[in-house]
Amino acid sequence: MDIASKTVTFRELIEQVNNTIQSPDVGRLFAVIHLRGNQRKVTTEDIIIVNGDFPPTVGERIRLEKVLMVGGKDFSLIGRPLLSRNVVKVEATVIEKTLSNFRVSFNYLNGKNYKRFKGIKNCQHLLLLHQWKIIPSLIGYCCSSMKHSIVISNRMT
Amino acid sequence: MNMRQTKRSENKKNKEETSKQPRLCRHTIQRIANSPIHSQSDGTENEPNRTPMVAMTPDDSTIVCWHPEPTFPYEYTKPLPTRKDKDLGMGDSVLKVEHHRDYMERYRTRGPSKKELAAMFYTSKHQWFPK
Repeated sequence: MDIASKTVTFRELIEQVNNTIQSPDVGRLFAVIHLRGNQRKVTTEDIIIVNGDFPPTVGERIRLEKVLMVGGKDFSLIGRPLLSRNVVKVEATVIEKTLSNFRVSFNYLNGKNYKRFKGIKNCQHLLLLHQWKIIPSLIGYCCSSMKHSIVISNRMT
Repeated sequence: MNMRQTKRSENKKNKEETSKQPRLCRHTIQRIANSPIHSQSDGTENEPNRTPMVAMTPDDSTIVCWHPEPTFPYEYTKPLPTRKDKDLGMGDSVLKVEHHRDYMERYRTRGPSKKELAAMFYTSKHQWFPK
């Protein structure tokens, strides 16, 4: 296992990933996004619910900056912990602001004449995710500025 | 009894073999890379673009994984399960199979069941009972 074989394997890997990203049969991509303290695995055309306060108004198109992982059928890119802004762009539109279902909180103390009945509804925001793009150039850039690439492969001999 | 004992011993052997294989480990990438590939008879594993690979970009910002879908050889596939005899017998009948199914499920509540809902939304069944 020498350094030359390592670099060749790394180049091949990068080329393969770039080719699949650019090819039409890349398939449906998934992403793991971090939104308001929650991590979700999403795909395109997903509608996700965000609970609680959320500043964007209806119709606004926002970019989800914290992308932990992006992948498809044949490849996946994992950030450490986040993927770079230049590698992937995940966008969503706020389509609705609603209230959640009616939940009852009823407190009662025995023998104390204490009853409290509350109905709770919290704010919910529906986000529609758009098709996202992975920009393969940056991965290629990493390849060109190769200094100490670590390639771990079981076929590397 | 002897047959049973031999079967048991075989099972034990199999268990030992499976435990020896490297498992997926979330702590190190190396373990993932060393895990065995799906065995293939048509020799596609020898092609360079079919081998799974894991690498890190030089600036340590991204881990790039290549995990092509393993092709399953056709000779090892099983035929699809045949339909029930009752449904098959309906082929030439005036009654359609779907109508027969509707009749059989006429008392069933409409929409997905709790079990199906739980499977759909990756939850337990408890979320779907009325509070």
